[in-house]
Amino acid sequence: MQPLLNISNLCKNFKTATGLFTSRQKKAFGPINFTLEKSQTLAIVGESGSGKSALVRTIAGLLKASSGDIYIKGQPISSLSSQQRCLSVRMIFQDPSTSLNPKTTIEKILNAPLELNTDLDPESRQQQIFDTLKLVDLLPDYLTFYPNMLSSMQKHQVAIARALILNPDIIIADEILATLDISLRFKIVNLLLKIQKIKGVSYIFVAHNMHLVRHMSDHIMVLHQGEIIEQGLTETICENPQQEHTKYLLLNHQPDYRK
Amino acid sequence: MALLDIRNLSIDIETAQGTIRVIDKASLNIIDGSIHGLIGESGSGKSLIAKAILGLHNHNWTVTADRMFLGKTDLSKLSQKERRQILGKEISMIFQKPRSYLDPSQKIITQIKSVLPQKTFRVHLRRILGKVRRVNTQSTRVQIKELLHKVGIQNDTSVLNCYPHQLSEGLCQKIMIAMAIANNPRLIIADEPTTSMESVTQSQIFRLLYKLNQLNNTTLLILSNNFANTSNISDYMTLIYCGQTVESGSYKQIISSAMHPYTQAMIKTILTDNQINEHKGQLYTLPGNIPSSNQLPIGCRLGPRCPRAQRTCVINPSITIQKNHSFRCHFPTKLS
Amino acid sequence: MLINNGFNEDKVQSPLRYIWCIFRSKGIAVVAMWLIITLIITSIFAPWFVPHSPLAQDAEKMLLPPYWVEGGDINHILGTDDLGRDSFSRLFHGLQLTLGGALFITLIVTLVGMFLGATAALTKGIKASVLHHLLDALLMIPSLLSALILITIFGPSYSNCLIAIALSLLPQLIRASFLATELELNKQYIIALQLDGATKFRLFRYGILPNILEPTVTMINRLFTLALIEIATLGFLGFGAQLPQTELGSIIASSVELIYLSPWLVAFPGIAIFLVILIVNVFSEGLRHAIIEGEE
Repeated sequence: MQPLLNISNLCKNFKTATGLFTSRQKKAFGPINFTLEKSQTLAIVGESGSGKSALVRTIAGLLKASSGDIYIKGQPISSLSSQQRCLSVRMIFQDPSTSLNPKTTIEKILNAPLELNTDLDPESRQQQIFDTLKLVDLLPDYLTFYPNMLSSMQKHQVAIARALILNPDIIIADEILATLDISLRFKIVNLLLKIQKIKGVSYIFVAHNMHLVRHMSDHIMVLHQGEIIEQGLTETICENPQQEHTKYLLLNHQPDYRK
Repeated sequence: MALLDIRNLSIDIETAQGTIRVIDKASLNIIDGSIHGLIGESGSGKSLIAKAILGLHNHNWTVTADRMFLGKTDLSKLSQKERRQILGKEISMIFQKPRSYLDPSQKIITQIKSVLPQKTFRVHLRRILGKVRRVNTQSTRVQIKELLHKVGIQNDTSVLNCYPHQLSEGLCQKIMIAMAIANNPRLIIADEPTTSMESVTQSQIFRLLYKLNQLNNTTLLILSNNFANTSNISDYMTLIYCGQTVESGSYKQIISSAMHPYTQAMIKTILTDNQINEHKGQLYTLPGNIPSSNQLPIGCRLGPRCPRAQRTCVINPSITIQKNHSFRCHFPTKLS
Repeated sequence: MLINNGFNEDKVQSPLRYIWCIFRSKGIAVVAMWLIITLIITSIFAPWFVPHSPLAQDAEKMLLPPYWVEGGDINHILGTDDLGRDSFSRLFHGLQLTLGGALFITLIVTLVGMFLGATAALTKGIKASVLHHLLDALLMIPSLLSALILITIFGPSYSNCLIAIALSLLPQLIRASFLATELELNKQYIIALQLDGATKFRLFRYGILPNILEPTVTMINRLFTLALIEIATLGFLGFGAQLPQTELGSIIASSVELIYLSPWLVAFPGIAIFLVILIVNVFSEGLRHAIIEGEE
């Protein structure tokens, strides 16, 4: 059985200019190998600068990999058209206040992916928009609003709806919990888990809060300076971290101040 | 001895929709030498309270309080100038996103020099006399070096010659803390110092704040939205929801016997290593969302979302105090 | 903002309508707007309401001062020039050419320049690079100088002067729109729209254009001011509108020798140019501030 997503030997290098005529290759990440099945959540952890953002952006299609392959349902990604790619992999950006166009209504924001990637007629598009809003717990009245009129939780919900509207197989969430406070984080996590149960979507999650990562992921991959230093099932890694760096990240660093 | 004693602080703001009472009878009692955590979600008014204490509020806000005492001085009876003088010496503040609070066009060394206590004529005279008598007096350079060592920055020469955009957030926050303790204040107000930082950096900053409190006996008021992190370090905690202080007490009292439903919900946000929640199950949250400021509920503002709400909750509950553990709820309960 | 209006009467304001509401509350800018509209209407309909033809010469009434000075005649409100032609009529005819020419240039250059600049920003590769460097080289030459060079190549006439000025101002606009578009391309919502699979045209029309309103208004304002001044300058130097066409710059040029006898002939066209530029700038500053406030 083909895994849903298969990454093999993915590498990315950036060219940086050193001196007048020379340039140097700086490694962002690589080589990366992992697989992802349906309805599974993979969490990618690491400190800043370890290449997590570059990796997820390459999978989403924003950056082009320098070498290596991405296979979705057995097919290499280069053989898929951009529409098919959009239908399989969608991305939720970190800060919804900058990733939603402030001059367009929510309806236009949600309509755009449908118009560009599917050939549904306007009524079915409208129906799909209503269904998706229901799934993320937003009322259809919000369609005529502009993003600056929504609260931060509602903007996150719209960003999730924009990712979900094409019924993708994989959703990539790039540090979406960082700008929220704790109770809203819990609400978003609950929402994502509910969606996973109903739709069977797989998530690739980039996060640092280890407690939430532990709660909601099946597999963890630890990156350090662009390389995988440890990967496996969540319970195995959290109970027996092998590498020093993983132990460092997983430990609750706060000493007990009461003693 | 209470360092900061605020009783029934209320702030009314005029908006296009009328007067909104954003802070409704909030009380805060900070004991000298302790770490006090003021915990509330974004939009609950914590920064407004800090601004009201410092007098930085907008002048079309109406600030009323029964008591607003810093030590023995009544803050509400001071003129602007006197208030500024007292606050400059006694209270320092550190902020969220420290990199944006440092001047991006000046090197760090210039900025730290500008907050050091000004050299008076006497100090200059002493320095000159010291040179004559060959006695070593503290130069600015050495003072800055000591300050940076106190906050845990070892390679001070390279840091001092950098601009803020070249440094990481954690380092910028440490520099801000160094600038805050330069004048030996009695109280440091930290306005969400570690939100939007990574967890490793967060624990470094908390460790630093704890050390400052232990060594110099500086009182800390930490405003935060993260119950888990802040409760770990605080001796006393006050929880605030939508401008109303719902519960206040020491760490032990709150964790072991939380009375208010909001506190209980906050306690359940501490995820510990022993899995209380089933893997990938739904986490506990209060239903509904925080009301926006033009649609605040009457009476107890948690009413619409509270699992124990009943009809009497439309009346503002009065404060109940049991052994320095105060709360405002009509139907309190012990954490079972 | 919560949905508690049971009566669906509160309509959500689109950003443009909101900007318009803010603009309407700024007194001076609205006055400037009405003045511009008045100016444009009068300059279009100038031949129909001026009392005399601008070419009608009257040998008896030469060099008359304006009517409020001793010796003036109410028939010629602003006086006459050395050939007896009415100043008032000549002023409005000149405004027609100068103002009309400037508006025309602004329109053409904006359309062409934005198209080229946006295309350059949205495409990558050798084409964009070449255009970029060519523009940088062209921008080195001051626009008036390049207009003069082009005029000497084409020969002096009003339409050639318009073409020359348009060509000399084009690089600035291309550069400005290129920069504005590039700045927008780094924003997250444009990246999100690209990930949705938007074509370049759709990206520009719905993603970039509504968000570059403020730099666009600034650009167009500067363009108009420069165009107006350059038309008048070229007219003054004799390269623009040739006699008997009336154009504010050439009116000033032909009256400069008489400046001690009748300073009015130089003052009124000069004041007219100054007022037009002032009004247009006040209007666009008001619009710009309204856009900035509306975006907050």
